[in-house]
Amino acid sequence: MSKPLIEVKNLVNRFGPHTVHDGLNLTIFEDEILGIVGGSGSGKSVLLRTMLGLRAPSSGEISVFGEDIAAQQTGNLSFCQHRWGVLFQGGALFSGLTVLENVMAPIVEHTRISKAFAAELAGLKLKMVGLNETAFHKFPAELSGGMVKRAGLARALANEPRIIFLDEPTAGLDPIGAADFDQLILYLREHLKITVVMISHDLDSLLTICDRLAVLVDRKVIVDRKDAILQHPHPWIREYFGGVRGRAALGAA
Amino acid sequence: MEQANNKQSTTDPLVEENHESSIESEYYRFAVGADSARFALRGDWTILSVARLEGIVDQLDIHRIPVNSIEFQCGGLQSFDLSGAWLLYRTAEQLRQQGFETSFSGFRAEHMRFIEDALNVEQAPVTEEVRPPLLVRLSLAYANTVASLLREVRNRYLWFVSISTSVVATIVNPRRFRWIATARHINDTGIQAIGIVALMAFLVAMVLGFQGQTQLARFGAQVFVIDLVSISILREMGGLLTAILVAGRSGSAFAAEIGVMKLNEEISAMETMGISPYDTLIIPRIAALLIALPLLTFIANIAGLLGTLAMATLTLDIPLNLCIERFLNLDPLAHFKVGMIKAPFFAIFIGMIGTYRGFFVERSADAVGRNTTRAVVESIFMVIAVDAVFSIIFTELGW
Repeated sequence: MSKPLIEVKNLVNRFGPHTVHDGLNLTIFEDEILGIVGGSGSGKSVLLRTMLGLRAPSSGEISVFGEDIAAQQTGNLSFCQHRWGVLFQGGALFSGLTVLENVMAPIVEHTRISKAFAAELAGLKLKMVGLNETAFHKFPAELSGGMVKRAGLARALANEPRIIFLDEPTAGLDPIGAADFDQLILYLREHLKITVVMISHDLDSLLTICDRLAVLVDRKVIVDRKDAILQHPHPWIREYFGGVRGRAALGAA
Repeated sequence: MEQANNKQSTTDPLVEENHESSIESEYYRFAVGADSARFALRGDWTILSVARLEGIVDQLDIHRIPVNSIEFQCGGLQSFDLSGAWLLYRTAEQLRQQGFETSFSGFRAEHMRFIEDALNVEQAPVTEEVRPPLLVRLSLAYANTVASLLREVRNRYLWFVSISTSVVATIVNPRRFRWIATARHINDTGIQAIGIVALMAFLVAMVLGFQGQTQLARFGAQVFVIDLVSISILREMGGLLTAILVAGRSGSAFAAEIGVMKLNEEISAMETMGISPYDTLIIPRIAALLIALPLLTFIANIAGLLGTLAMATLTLDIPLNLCIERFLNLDPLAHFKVGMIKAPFFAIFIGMIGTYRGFFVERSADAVGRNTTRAVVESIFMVIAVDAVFSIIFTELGW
């Protein structure tokens, strides 16, 4: 197997008396697309936020690109912040900036290139995700849901990251838009050689594009290749993929 | 090696005796030969290095290159990404525009992909908006201003009609009135503000007193400082300062609270459920201010009078009974009445402006900030304007 990019070891996350993760282990390898699934409240977002250093874990180790981010007491994650990109669920575009400026923001922050060249690079990324010039100078409030996701993805890709995190990338998109978005992610993975970690409830999208699936159950994670997970005996997993929606998606896939 | 049949004059510094000169850096080696130039890429051409490569065409000093074809040799590249590919494409494009022929060689397959992608999305993206001529822009801006003014007039009209309807409906059917929400807002806008209002009035009265007494002392009329300060506090300062403080405190809070609810689509949710946002959000806030502001004004008056008293007895050594006697001779109730009449009007304006500004927030985070600022500025302005109108009325009435 290729080399690990992110390793989570014995992660414990507690909110007061409530334990969300208890000794969770997860390794994300280079060049894979890993889907994270789990019921509501199973701690998908908490896991993502912990991996991104937005939340300090109650205990455990998280190493990103070989460095332990949980140990970075000062919260100084600059060694990895230009090597990852994140697409938040609502897009999280900066509402005071135009689409183009949104994508330029991380480039200008981490490199010392001229504004004009940064704008060219940002435009390149925006075109890659399928947005054209008419959208460049719009403000996020003027965009449709699908365009917000695309612009957010372009911003996540701005600094040529080695890994991108997608939080519910297809939520709120119509099936055609969602399928297009799946293809876009596959295209980007193939062309930019990036690792993709996505949280999703969209079974179609999980089954179409993921190499491996990580299922959050019982405060731990069960992670395996897609087909192995589908055969897994755990009752929650059987129900998740075996329900009406799951069968429909499997039939289609 | 290059052939020796060099047609260029040998004075050109780039063409030296071995018929080849070169520029080297961490990222490339640029060698000029007799009939072609070779640009050998090396190292990392990635987003992290493009900053140092951006002005590459200038570094090459192209006007002194004696040949007109340049070959990009890409075999030595270590790592490469889309940004690096774009830079390379752009560099080649710039050189082509200067009349050079460019060619590429030695790409590794995984690097070639990036170039293909850069070319697929192709041609420099438009970075500047096409700006119409000044006159057009000016008239567009003017039209926009007029349009937004008209929109604002319309909004205010609708707003006023909705509120009036809601008020009438509440009076007809008092069960619509939200007591609990109103009580919460009385707490937030009134009870929470008591301390700051009292302290402010007390201090302002003392400051007024000190300033007044230095002037009055010149006429030996120091004792009139009691009249001066207590009348100003009761008639003007108590009510005005309280209203300004509440406008800053609660007007902004109303605009921000309702603005965020609007962004969060809570107001749309209410409307779809048939819950009137006017009943639940607007009326309770205005009602709360109608109750809280007069009470706060009353408290400010008391604190101001105490400040006057403290100043007069402690620093001017005017005996307490003399102070009280002078004060009672002023017909304080008449002045008190003049000050208090204004308070409900201030409350209505502050409440209406704050909630209106929140209600008409558009979809963006800075709109909340802008509307909050406007709420405060407009309500303070209206408080002062209303106060001025009342001064004229009271003067005419001889109160």
